[in-house]
Amino acid sequence: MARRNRWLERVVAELRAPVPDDGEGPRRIMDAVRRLPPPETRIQKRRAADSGWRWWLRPRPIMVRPAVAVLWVALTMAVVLVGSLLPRGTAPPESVGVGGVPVVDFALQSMPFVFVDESATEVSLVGDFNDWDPTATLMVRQGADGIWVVVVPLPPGRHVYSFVVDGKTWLPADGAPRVPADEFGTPGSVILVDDEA
Amino acid sequence: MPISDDDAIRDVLAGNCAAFAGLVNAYYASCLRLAVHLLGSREDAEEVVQDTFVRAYRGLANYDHRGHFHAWLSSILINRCRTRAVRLSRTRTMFRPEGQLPASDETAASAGDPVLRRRLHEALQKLPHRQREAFLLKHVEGWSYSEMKRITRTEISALKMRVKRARAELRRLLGEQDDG
Amino acid sequence: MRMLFTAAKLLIAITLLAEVAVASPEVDARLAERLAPETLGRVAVLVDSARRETLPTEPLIQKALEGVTKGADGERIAWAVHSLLDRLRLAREILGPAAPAPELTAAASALYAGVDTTILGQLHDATLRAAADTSSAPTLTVELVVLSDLIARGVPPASASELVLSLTSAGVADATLLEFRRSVEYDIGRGRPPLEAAESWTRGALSRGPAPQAVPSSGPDRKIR
Repeated sequence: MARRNRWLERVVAELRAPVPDDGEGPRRIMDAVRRLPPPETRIQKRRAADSGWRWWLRPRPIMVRPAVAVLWVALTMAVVLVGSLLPRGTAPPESVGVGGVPVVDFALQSMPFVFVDESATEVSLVGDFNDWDPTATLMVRQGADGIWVVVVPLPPGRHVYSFVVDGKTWLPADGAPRVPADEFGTPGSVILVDDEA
Repeated sequence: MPISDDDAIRDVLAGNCAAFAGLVNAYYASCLRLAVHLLGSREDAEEVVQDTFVRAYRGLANYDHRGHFHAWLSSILINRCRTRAVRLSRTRTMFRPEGQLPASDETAASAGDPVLRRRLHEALQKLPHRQREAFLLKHVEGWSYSEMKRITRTEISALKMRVKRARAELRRLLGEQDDG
Repeated sequence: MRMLFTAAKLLIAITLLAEVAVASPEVDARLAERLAPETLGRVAVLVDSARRETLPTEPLIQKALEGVTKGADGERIAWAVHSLLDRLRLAREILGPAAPAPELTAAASALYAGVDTTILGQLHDATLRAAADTSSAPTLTVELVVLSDLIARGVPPASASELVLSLTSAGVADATLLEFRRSVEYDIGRGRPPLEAAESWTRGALSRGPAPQAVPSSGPDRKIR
């Protein structure tokens, strides 16, 4: 035990050695700080933000005795469990479509995707809208110019996608915003879909 | 007579920007040391420390941990270092050859055992970031576990486990080098 | 007193059991179908963490599925999902709890590209100011998509950040930003250095508003608001 402590003491002593400093760091920080607005404005902003109904939305720490918290949680859970055992009413189900599939209430928008490659024999569209499944959305060749097209209904939001040529080459779209080469080393593009009808 | 951190903060909030310099001077060296050990790069550490103080200044109105400015500042620094470490790990994976580390004289004072310092620095950088963080906060910065919990927003049991593992791993790494 | 203690212990036990029954993580069927058991376990824990923190879970699921399709090993997939979760947390810390999922994922992507958290905060502030001027709903998604695109095309992250921040601070409209992006892409395609193209078109956008010349359009970009 004593040996381990001596080892640790040596290590800690080395790590506690001050880092050499030319004294410029604090000066640079104060230069940066002097260019900032005074922090009082943030207090005023916070007070303004706390007015009216916003008070209820701002996160804040709450002091509570653990024993009281446990009792409250237990009581709440008991109410939930008892409630779940009671027979339910006969309210009509929420929107249900054909075959019992729930109807999604956001508007899908038909988005055309176009890719040009004369020599490709198969092109598929993969993205976060089709679980990156290369067999899910095959593009259709239009004429002899190597223009591949598919129209995909997409929900509003930001979607990342790529084209897969002949099952092996991943390519981004020309003319569309790109995402940086991802963790898996392939390029991708982005499409933004608005929620307007 | 030196003024307390809370007095300095009151002065800053009252419009005296220069009072912030006292806080910077008081904590700059320890912040820089922690950041250097966490990130393994002097340049990144300096940027992160500057960012930390700037954020602390901007957020002074939110400071409500009376008497715990250093812990509050450390929590900002720890967060900034985590962010930077995520980015560094990616760029290192992509661009930096395995084992290439900054020279030891970039990161530590000239006093002490240079061989141990070099080995220690390399071993420290091999630890997972959260282990390195817990080890440094506990043993080098000297925080208690309850203060570390406040700084890292991590449960004490997890922090103890990280410190223990970091110690064992450091010892193993240094021991292996001693044997080799 | 002893009875009270026993009752308290009983209540704690009920609470724990109920919590386990109610909160046991549900594994997404798509992940269960396509991930190896060991990877599935690690990814499911991360997705569950996101759910508990009310962060969007679908981007994490899609990241894992993307990795499977691209043939990445389990370690790489788990790392990518973990890394994305960290960036989503960071993005929400900066953009606030009300930030919508597209904005968070765009911010996570920008952080991955190398955008500094300070810049992200400044962009957020600038968007809030612009929204206050126009009474429109503040969103940062377009700005972040454009910023990530510039970086992906070779503009250094720090420069790209400053340029987009200057445009956002000037209150440039989303449509103009997207037109600016197209113009930069067009110029880079013609051999102009990325930074030079971006700086030149930023000056154009700042002085004239919309981009000064029409640029050929190809491929879907966005259904503009």
